[in-house]
Amino acid sequence: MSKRSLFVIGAFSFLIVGVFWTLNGLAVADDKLPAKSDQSCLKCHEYDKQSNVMAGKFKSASVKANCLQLQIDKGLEVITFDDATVLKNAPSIPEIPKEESVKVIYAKKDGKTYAKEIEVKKGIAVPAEQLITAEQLADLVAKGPEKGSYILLDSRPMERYNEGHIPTAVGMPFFAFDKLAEKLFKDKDTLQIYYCAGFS
Amino acid sequence: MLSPLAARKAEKLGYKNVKVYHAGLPDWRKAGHLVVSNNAAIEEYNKLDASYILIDTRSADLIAKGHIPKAVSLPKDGIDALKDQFPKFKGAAIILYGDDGVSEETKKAFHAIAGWGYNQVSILDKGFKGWQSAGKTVSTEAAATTINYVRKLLPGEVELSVFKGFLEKPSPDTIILDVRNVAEVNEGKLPNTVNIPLDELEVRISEVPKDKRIIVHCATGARAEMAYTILKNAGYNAGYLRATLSFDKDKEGAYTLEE
Repeated sequence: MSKRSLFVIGAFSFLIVGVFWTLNGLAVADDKLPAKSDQSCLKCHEYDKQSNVMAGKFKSASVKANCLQLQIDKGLEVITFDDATVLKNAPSIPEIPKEESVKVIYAKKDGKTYAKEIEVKKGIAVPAEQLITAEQLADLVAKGPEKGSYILLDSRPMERYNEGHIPTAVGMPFFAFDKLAEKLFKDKDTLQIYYCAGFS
Repeated sequence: MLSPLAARKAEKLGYKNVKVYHAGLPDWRKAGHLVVSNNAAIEEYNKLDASYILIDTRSADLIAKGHIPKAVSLPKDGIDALKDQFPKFKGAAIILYGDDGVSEETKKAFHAIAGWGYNQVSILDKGFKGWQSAGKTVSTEAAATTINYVRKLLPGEVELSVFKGFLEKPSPDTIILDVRNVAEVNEGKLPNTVNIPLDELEVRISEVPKDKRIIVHCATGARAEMAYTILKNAGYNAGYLRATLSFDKDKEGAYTLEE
């Protein structure tokens, strides 16, 4: 093959690739919508570098209007959904716990913000042998921390602890864990029981 | 969801005997166990000017000598005599106190109130004595005998009485927007309202005049709040009603609106 024909083929393939690339680029550009994420989600996820993602706290949903509301920092977003919306980690949209972190892959559909996929944050699995029931805990609480040799720790923010906690519990907000651990724990073997606002 | 994370952290630090009560406080309440609060909760509510109900369960003699400000005295016949005065809002903060911590009276009242469905009731952990010995303000004025709880409005929320005022006497500067579905509207509608179902609001937003105040309602307040969000984000002067709306099937135009 002559140098010239090689050049022609080369130039031609460049052109074809170029045309495809442009077409493709246009289609994607059309679909690319900016990511909107709550600051709390950005601690572990790089949603700000992705497109078509909204991440925040689930506020409410209306099945009658096929709409849900997501809190992102101080603002709220209303997003529509339908039967084609893929839901992950929840049995149904109204059953998503309030305030749970949710990631939505969104698009514009008929002028509305539409959820293609809703992914509820997966709960952290606790091994069965580490779980304690209300009944077991109530028995310990009745004895008190000394006789029952336990320390009960409330992981929620201090304001929540102040306005209502399990008797004998000590406030230990999760974000102050390291600071409080030294003060609260005397030895490595005393039973530590952690609780918070449950699964939500 | 914080407790499993805390437990994991503790294990990493070498603590060997770590358990998690994963179902947490809501489950504890559901199982009928007591929940306690402390002085800081009352101070925090006062600082935020938040609404709460404080009930002094001690004898009339002790209450007369001094009580925590804003306390309502428990009637002689017990908590049931106050039931009618409790708010409809089940999330209302309710604190009960005795002389020095959990007493038979506080326990009895706690279980009754929890049984009525209130999910934010607690007993002050160290009672009146704990409050007094911490140097907090003690009131010697006669304690209130009736509950006067006014729920604070959420951002954008419009008071029911104000909303009813607009229904009866329409204002040229205000539009009441009904965001229920067409099928629901056919069952009954409020006077002087405009209907745009919530799922059409974004597309039809140009139909909503920008120079007027828009007050949104639906059947419960859930969709109205979302519509409020859409309107607010679009730059409207908007508000919404959080109330349950029902229509009387037997009487044309008759409706009930309640919080």
